[in-house]
Amino acid sequence: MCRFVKSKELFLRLLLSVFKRAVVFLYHNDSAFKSALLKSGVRCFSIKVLKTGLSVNVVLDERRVLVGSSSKRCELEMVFKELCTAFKTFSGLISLEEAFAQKGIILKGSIAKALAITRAIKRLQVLVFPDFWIKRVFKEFKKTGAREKLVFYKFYLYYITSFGR
Amino acid sequence: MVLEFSVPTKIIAGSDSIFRLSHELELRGVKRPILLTDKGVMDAGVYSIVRMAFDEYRFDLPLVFKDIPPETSVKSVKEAYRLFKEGNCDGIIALGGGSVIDTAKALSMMVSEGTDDLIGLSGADNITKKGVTFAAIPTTAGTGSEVTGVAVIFDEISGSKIAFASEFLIPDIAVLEPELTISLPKRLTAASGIDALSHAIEAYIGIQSNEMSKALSFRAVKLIFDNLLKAIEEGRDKGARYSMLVASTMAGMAFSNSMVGIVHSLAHAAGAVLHIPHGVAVSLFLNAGLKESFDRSKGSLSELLDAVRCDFLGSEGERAGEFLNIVGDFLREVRRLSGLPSGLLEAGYKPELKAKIVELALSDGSSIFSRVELTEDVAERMIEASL
Repeated sequence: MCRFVKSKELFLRLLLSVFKRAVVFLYHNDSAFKSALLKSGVRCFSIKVLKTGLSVNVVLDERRVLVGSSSKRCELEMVFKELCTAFKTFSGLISLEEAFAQKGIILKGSIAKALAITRAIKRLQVLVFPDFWIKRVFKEFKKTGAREKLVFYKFYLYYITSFGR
Repeated sequence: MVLEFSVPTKIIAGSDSIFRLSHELELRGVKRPILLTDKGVMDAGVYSIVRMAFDEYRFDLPLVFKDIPPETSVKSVKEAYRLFKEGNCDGIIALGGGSVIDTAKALSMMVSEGTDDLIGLSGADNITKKGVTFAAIPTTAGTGSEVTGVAVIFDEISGSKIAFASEFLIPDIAVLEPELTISLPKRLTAASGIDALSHAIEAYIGIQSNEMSKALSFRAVKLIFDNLLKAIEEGRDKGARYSMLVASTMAGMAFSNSMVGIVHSLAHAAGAVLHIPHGVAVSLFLNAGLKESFDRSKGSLSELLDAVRCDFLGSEGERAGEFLNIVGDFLREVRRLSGLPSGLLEAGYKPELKAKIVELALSDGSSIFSRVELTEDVAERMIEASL
């Protein structure tokens, strides 16, 4: 049963702010994440949660990535049907693949591109969550190396120091 | 975890079931349906049986579009849409295999959205409303397309296959008439039967499997093991043909809700590169895909053993291994009887095509639902094992 919905919504807002900053930070600091995003061929995608108004828009090209919350229509939209699945996904309790598999997401756009974006987001989750937390949710998990751990610490340093900006 | 399970199609199955379709259409207020079919169906005399059933009921079939190619394309869907509008039609009947039913789904989409921009509707959930009444009459037993909400159409301009997925694409009525599959050649019977087997097994062992889809998959596996060889050897065996149609539809219902996995990812990719029929491609990768899934799906594979052999005692791993052995033996027997290729090399594979197949497989949506992470290594191993 999904309890404490209001609290979860507040917490999800925080999680989405981490997600947004992670997209920008990793785009410039992790070549695997950047290439996964670019390889997808998607130049604008959005993640939304029905009825809550929560949304993340990502617009990217070879040089930069812009992340916001506008309601602009993108070529690829992943819409969570309800808040609880979105909460579980962004807090690393389930993977985005599992959210798809549970039919918790309405996908508007190309299935192949969504799969590529899912892979990029998986990379993001590997880098922003500690190993012990995230390894349960993936089909296969490779322990993060020293370079990835460094990205993990750098990201949280960046996140804390840029908070409120 | 939330479970969503939907089977909105009315299924009419059995000998002479085709005679009930007119009544079902009338019930839904359909007066001028367009019937889509292909040359193969016309030549095999299948269309004349359907026509007779409609004539018997004095139901007029004013418009027949019979030029759907084996690999349907945007061009043929648009042509069907033009005829639909010109004929002022109010329903769609698809008589044929996967290609014809996919064309009908795409037509239904264009009709409901009132647009001729088919590519603009590609992807998942891009359709906003249900179209006109849509009846599917499969003439092969394998795709399960008569109960699924997925269609694949070839785009001549980009040279690629475009996928469409929406629950609004699921046909309203499916007629499973064994008489219509009797003329199916051995090779096609075998390939489509193995496709159905793969739907059933992959839906059973995937991450989205659930008690409802498992029940359908389990029974479908049993029916296929009991009837596919008979249907290949003795094509006029109506009992075997009926059971294969029912098994294929049950497997379709299961995978429509629980999806397929890495066998289909590789089969879609190899099919596109080698230009081989989907069922043939599936038959080439089924064994390798199950072996890759073994460690993560032991429990489910062990359960499936009960569908084909109930006297084998052993640990979960031993039982799962026995199921894989039985599937391997079954595939060999199907190939022996039907002449399906025994490996990728026989199907035209060349080593320089490997990279392309791997690339396409990795971008195929089916892999999401597998318990195995489809990586380059896994895809390459599956290709090597299927040579």
